[in-house]
Amino acid sequence: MDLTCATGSISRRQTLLLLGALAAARTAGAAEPGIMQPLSLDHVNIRVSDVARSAAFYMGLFDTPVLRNPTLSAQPGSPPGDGFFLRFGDGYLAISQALSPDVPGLDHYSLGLRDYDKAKLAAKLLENGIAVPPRSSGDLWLSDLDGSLMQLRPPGGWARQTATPYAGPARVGPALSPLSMSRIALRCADLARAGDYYKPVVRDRNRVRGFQPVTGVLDRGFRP
Amino acid sequence: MFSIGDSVLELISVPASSAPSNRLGIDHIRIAIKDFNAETVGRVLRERGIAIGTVPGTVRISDPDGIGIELGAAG
Repeated sequence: MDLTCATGSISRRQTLLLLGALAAARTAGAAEPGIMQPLSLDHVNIRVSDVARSAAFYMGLFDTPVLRNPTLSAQPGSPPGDGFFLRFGDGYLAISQALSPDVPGLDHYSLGLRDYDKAKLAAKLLENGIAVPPRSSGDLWLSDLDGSLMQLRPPGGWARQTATPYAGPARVGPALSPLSMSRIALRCADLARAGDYYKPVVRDRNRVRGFQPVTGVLDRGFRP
Repeated sequence: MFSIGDSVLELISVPASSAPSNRLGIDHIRIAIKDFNAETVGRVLRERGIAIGTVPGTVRISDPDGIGIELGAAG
């Protein structure tokens, strides 16, 4: 067997050596499997000062399905309140009420995991020194070093939503067609420590960009 | 930055001395828009009285509580 290319031909032995080298290079470059394998940003749940006002804001911008749950508990144990869900591709934005003394901001964000098994994942996290507080939920909840709450669950949360389609007044002029929620940016007090926390947690074969420390405090932060 | 499927988790540093408005937690979310064009999207938002900021290739707004929303193309 020989393979012919622009520069001539190579022998079967050379071919095997070449294939071996390529396999080794691929192995060396592959990311180690992480504690879990996130497939998607399933949803982001924000707490707002006025649910109706924020829902009107988002519904007025985005031409996308909306669900509503008047008794939404943003997380296990949260007091129920009005909640809206806007679909962004496979994920969604959940809007719930900020409760005194809470301030508006992130309630939690959710990752859809490959081969999600709560008990196995909890054990694996614990093996890696990450405690999982007990909660009465089929999902796992972790708080990162800065208190940002992460919900871990199987992918496809929108399809499992039991909230009802929004039946309020007709939406006037939503102009933007969302395809996905492609990024969540979180503020942290110590970037290096936060990076060290997340590296093993979210590392997987999908992690192609690697961890890139962001310098210049808040100069990458959001400025509308 | 970390990849989560097709999405990204980004960490941004905030100093301990920062103002309460720069609190920890969410900085912004990015939403990919079909047929995104920054000029067109910016015009639509301005017509609705929404203040915008621009970073090349994106449009940035804040929701009523100051949560950042970045609009851009897919990918």
